[in-house]
Amino acid sequence: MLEGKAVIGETDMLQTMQQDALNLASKALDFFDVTEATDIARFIKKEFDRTHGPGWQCIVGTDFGSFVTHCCGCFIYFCIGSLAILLFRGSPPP
Amino acid sequence: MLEGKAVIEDTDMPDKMQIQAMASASEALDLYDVFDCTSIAAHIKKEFDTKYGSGWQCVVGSSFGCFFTHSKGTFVYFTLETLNFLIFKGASYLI
Repeated sequence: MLEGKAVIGETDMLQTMQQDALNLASKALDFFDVTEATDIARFIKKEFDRTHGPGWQCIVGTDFGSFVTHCCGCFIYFCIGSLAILLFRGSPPP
Repeated sequence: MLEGKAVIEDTDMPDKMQIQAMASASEALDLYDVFDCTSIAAHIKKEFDTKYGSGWQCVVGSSFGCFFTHSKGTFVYFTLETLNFLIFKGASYLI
């Protein structure tokens, strides 16, 4: 892995899941170029849907702001290389 | 409102809801600076939670890509001035 260490900005997630997210992001950056933000997001979201249940959302980019509602224990925002990555599971309707 | 007309890139949302999305975005740009993406996103998301029930998500920025699952009929992606706006309601699922 060529990337430097990821820096977690905000999180509400178990340590093991956090590590999964960081590992997947690093793996995605081995497969895709940093300009392919959508492919990176797809890769991470699909893997999380597979291993941690459905309903994940992933946003990747160099310049964005967001405001979301997420499930308890299912949110992480971190930076790796030049990219910021937001991964969360949206809350189900009440 | 000083902004130009919004350009819808992709949507599966009813027309009335699309108009609300663009109106909320325009309103947010009156209230906040164009660099304050998070406040703009917050304004729009809260507006949609109030009008159309909870669970909406909003992403605003000039450089991002994403991949998500959304409820049917609740997705719009459009451009207004220098910003791109993505609004959707996350899909419900069984836990």
